[in-house]
Amino acid sequence: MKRTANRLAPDSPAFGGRDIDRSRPLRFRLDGVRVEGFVGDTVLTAALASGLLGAGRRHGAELALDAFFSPQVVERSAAGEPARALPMERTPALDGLDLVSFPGARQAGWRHRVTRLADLAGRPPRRLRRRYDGAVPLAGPWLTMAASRELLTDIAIIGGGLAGLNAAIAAARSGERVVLVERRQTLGGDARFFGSVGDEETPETLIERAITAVRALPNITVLVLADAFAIEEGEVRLHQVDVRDGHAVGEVISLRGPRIVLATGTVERLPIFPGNRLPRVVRAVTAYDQADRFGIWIGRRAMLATTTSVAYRAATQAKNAGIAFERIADTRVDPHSRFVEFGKAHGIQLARGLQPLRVEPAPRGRPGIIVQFGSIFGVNEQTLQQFETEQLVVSGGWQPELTLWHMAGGGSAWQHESARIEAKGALNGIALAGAAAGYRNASACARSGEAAVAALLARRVPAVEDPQIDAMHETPDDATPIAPPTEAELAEAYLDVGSSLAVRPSLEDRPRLAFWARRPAALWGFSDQARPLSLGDVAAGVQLGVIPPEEATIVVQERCATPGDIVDAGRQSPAPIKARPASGGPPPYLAGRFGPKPATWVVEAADGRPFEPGCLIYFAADRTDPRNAIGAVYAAAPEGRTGGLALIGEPTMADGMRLFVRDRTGSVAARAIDPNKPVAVAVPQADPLALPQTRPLDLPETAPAEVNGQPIAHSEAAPAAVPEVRPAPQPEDAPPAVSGAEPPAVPEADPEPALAPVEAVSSPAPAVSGSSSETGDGGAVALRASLLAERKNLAGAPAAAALDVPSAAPSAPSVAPAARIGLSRWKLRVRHKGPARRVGLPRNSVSAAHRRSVYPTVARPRPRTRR
Amino acid sequence: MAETSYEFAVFGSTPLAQLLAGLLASAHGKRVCLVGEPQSVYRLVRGIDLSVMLATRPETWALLRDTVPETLGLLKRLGGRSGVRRIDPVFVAETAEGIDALSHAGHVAAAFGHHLRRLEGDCGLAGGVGYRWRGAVLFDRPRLQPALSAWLAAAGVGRLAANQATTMLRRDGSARLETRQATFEADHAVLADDSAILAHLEGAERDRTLLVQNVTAVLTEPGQPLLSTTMVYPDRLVTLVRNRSGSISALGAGGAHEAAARIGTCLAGQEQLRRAGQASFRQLATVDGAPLLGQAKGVRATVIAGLGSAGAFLAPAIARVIAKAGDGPERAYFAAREGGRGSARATVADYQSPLVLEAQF
Repeated sequence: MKRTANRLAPDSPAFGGRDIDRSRPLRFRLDGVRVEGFVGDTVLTAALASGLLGAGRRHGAELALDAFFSPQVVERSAAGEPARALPMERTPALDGLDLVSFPGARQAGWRHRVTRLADLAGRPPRRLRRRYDGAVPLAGPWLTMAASRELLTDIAIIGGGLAGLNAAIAAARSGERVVLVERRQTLGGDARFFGSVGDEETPETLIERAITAVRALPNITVLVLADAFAIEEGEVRLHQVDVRDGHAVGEVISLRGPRIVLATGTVERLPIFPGNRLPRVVRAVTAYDQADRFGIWIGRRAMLATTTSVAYRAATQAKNAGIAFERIADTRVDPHSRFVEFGKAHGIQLARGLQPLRVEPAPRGRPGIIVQFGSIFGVNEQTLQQFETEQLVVSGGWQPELTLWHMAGGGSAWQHESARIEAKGALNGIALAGAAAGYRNASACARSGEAAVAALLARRVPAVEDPQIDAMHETPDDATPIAPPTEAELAEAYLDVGSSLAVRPSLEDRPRLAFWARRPAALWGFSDQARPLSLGDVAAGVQLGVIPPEEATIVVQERCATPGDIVDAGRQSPAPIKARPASGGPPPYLAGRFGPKPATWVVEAADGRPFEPGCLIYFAADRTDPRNAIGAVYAAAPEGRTGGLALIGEPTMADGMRLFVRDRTGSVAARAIDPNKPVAVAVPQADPLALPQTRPLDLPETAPAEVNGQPIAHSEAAPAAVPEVRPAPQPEDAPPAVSGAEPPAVPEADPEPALAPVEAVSSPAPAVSGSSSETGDGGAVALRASLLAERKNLAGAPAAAALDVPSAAPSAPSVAPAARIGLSRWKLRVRHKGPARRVGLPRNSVSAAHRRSVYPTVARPRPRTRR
Repeated sequence: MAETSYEFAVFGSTPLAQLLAGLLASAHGKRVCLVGEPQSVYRLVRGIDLSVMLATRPETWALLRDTVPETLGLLKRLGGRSGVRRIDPVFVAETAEGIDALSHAGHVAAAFGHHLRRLEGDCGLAGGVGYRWRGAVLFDRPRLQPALSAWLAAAGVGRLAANQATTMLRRDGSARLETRQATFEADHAVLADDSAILAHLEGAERDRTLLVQNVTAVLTEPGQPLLSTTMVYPDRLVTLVRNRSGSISALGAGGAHEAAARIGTCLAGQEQLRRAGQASFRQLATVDGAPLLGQAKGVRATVIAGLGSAGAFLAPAIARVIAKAGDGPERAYFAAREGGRGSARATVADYQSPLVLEAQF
């Protein structure tokens, strides 16, 4: 295969390649493959001319290489510097370059060596060895770069087509400084493709005149090969590729100016059918542009599938250039247009009411594709037509390029008649012009540029006429054709060109490995499409019925107008989060958890370990339900102590009392020491005028629980004016007050404790002080204390410790209160020297919450826990 | 003009609102109308539904212990399994308060059978402490939606698009909805998500506990794997979810720039992560961090807010309470969290980010 297989002859009557100098050939390497071109080529066009048609593979199918989807390239010597990557379509081809596509191209392995050998043997590869299946970054690195220089101007004009050129001329003639930004390396846009209407001047004439005028005006700065990728108020961010010292380099420019004209043109929609992004499937405007500027035409046979009249121009011009244009399939049933007549006059066979259904690569060894057409009225065997060709030119209608407009905050609306999203409303300091503003004719686009500048300069806005040929003589364009989905599609149907790679859903639910291991139910939508969408994607979504037309603009604003990146840590970190002013007390979420008058204690582990904040404190080692916890560690222990600082709401607590703290290892024996006064927990309040303050806990609405006339302190049922029943601290070495008192009661359902490292406790067994004497009747408290003591016993404490019952209730035997108030359904087994007997509490003597708190295993089923 | 009457009009589009409407209709035999759009496949996801959250109150975990299996069982029956992802989310706190709260929530949750592990070493955020929660459940909203829609239709729940109906909430809590074709009456209105509350209640009608905050949802291009499929940063109010496509859905407090910076800080190590989509909106938070279920001031419509990411998993209990079929603990739980209780809500306060409190004070 010749290296210039896809280049048209220099003496071709059309499509000679205006931008290239055929007298100055050049060579370079791309991923090791030799590429030949001419001065004036870009890396992309030289690659296409040399037969590299595929950008890589995705989901098993090839993806076409074109100006809207091509990898970045970097010189091999700078392959480790991703910041130097450049876009293929804007990088001038230079002789002797050795480029690698970036990132992810396979540069090693036997396949690569075979490819290079085949290349040397005269069989160059047809695609780049890249895959786009996974998380391959497609965005250019310049999106994250800081601007290397700043340009100040009065009016920034984005787009060097007819509208942009005339806007620049009008602004410059008004005395304004102008910067004109063009993505391609030459000015003029796509006006040549659209031609002229009636007897208006040809686009070529209009463009030449405008370029001459621009060159003559010194206050116009033209930036070519510059792509505007972001816009904010008064600033446009550009990435421009330039050649310095024989190397292509890119830089980010901040273009600042109070007024901006967006003449960004229009984008041709891609008809939706399986295989619509295979190599050799090219949109009409792209095919025309490549042929017109670079003399490139893929293959020597072609077909056109169109829904627009203007696409016929590409076919007739290609026919003039010697391409065997075999067929034009038009979705419209009865298209009338001068272009249609031109097509007929050129001898091209015309088929009406047909749309492309699928495209597949031709069988191995044949350079081409198989195109299947079907009737727009329904697909059946009779209407199916299949052809083999070397290029399918497609045209699916037009979508104004409004990405920057939306990025700047502009509005838009879906237009049912034209099946496209059109701009709506106005922006301060920004004006639309040309096809982006909805104009169609070349002369109208030119005048709209002048009108946009006049509007920005607050001058009289000239009227812009955009004459249209009557529908009787020129059939309006159809909506973008969408092939009906089929059960098994060999290739995906993409919604648009570009890097979003959004596809139409397939009806097929392919098995993964076996019949029972199917993929998740097929889901398709934009919500997790992992790349920014284009306006064409959204328009396709509306046509597919996925997006309601009235919400198209919202989707565009959400998904299309997002140029920036998510910055890495350290670049743009927000201010550190300021913690709430410390109240010095427990955190708000402990409010009300452990009774109305909780106190802070230092909880010291028997083995000296520290407790992390958050550990829960129980009376017994086997307790795990946090609703029965009597406290929680909320801070590190004061200086010089181990354990932690805890909030404990148990009124019977005594200094040195044994507790169990559940940390990450399980239940740990500990003791409470060094009590403080009851503390208040500061809780954020809703009053916007209120300052953070320590606020005493509010009281629950339920009636206070009482036993023998005294309230029982509990987390959810206690009155406001509860006298503090926390026992006075006792010295650690205080002997058990009543060593031979009645043994404590034990809940019947208590299981064996899971963890009982009590042996490690070195401190003397704590004694519960006789706070009952302070309350006047120590019965309930004494019973409670006896329960606690028994729990300690259950937890594996020495037998003597189990008898550490309240010392200050000598007149009230530990079991006496329970015996006095009689039996109830709360049955307790009292372990005594004698046989076990059942005692209980009166049914209504304590609140339900209190029962749950003290006797959880009786009142509630034991929660499932895993250790 | 035809007039249809319902017992309940549930306003909202989230899974919680849809589950609530469906449960009221199917489990409690109520005539229900759901006013809101279903989770659209073309919009960015504006919230997550995770079966665990940073809750420090034992009663919350006790309630979730019962309602999570109930909710999952319901989804299994209605064919929504593909919309349920089993994941091990990681919670990362960075302030001293947040770290303590996360630790405490971990201890409480562990007591209710949850498996947590504190992450040793770097958790991706300087000074942060992370906990990995084993065996949590995340709803994949877009995938769940078809099953929910079918279930709601089968349960006889009326559907009205919020933007196509004119709503009038009356002082007695009833609602009148008018479309071009018909008029609908509902005996009681339930505002079941933030957007519904913000749309139908003026500031003075909302509980004083509720604060409005700006949130930005961001979808990124495919990036490197995160520490977990779901990362929750309760202090900086950022949530990251790695989608099946490799992209990352992020929710961050603040406007676009502020949120992007916050999210970016959480995405350390992702060299270049381009935004694939972005949307800013408003949502509600309770100043005390506790859920709120109560009546709106003035109109008596039921308001559900501040449930956090686990709200959808509480739907069975909420439906029972609204249908007056709840048992004691459920009633008590939500009674303690009613609006208008003023400082009484202090006893149910939970952890709240300093960012929310910053806006308050």
